[in-house]
Amino acid sequence: MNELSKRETALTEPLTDDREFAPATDVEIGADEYTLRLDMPGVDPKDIDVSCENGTLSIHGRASRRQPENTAYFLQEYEVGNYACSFQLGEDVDAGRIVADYRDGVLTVTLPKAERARPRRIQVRTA
Amino acid sequence: MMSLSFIPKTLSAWAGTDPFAEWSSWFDRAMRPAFPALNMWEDAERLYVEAEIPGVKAEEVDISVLGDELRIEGSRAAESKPGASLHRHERPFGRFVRAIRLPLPIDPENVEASFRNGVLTIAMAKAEQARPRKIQVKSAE
Repeated sequence: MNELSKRETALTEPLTDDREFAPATDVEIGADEYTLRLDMPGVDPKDIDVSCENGTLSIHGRASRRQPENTAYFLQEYEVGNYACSFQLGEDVDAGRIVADYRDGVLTVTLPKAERARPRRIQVRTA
Repeated sequence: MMSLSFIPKTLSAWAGTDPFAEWSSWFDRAMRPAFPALNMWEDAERLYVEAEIPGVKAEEVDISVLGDELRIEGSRAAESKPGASLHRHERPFGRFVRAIRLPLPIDPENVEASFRNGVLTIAMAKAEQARPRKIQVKSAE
């Protein structure tokens, strides 16, 4: 695992369950927040669980079968399965204000940085 | 004819250009899997094609049928917040085109496409001659 400086990122490699698919994920770091965008098409929003416990963010999406069991495919380039991934969050994330939004098959999770972690410019007073 | 190949779920590739060249540099052009990956099946009445195209709106996808070829094309814009930097980039963006030969004749006037939660489903009614037809066996009297 690469050594990542704490200042640059608080999100390390995701942990995944072998039997489920890890969604393609973009991680963006801003001054005030982290943004995760995950491609999770074909899931009903009510079947998506996003939870945060002890600094671990876990995401799970339950996919449902789209065709009947005995369907004969002419072409099958992808399989349909559940999505699962999790991320270790750094102490700079304000877990109480994490929000998740699902639209057009993309889950966007916004993780605001805690006040004390935001870069703050300090005014130098002169005598 | 598109070849059958297993596309790992965590990898997807876009035919279009992408400014994050360093990320796609390790994809040899020849090895890049086709995007979007397609599933195709039939029932008695129709031929179906399904593709997972998350993050794209219905009006941003162009679907057309010409003869025995189905064509799906569109583009996905990269999203990012101003002033933010990308730490990990796995989701592709840009233009995509996929053309596939259909294995049986369909009625181009009778094609429906629906797009829900990033899954595009195209249902094409089979042409008359492609429908299974029961043949009555007459017994000689």
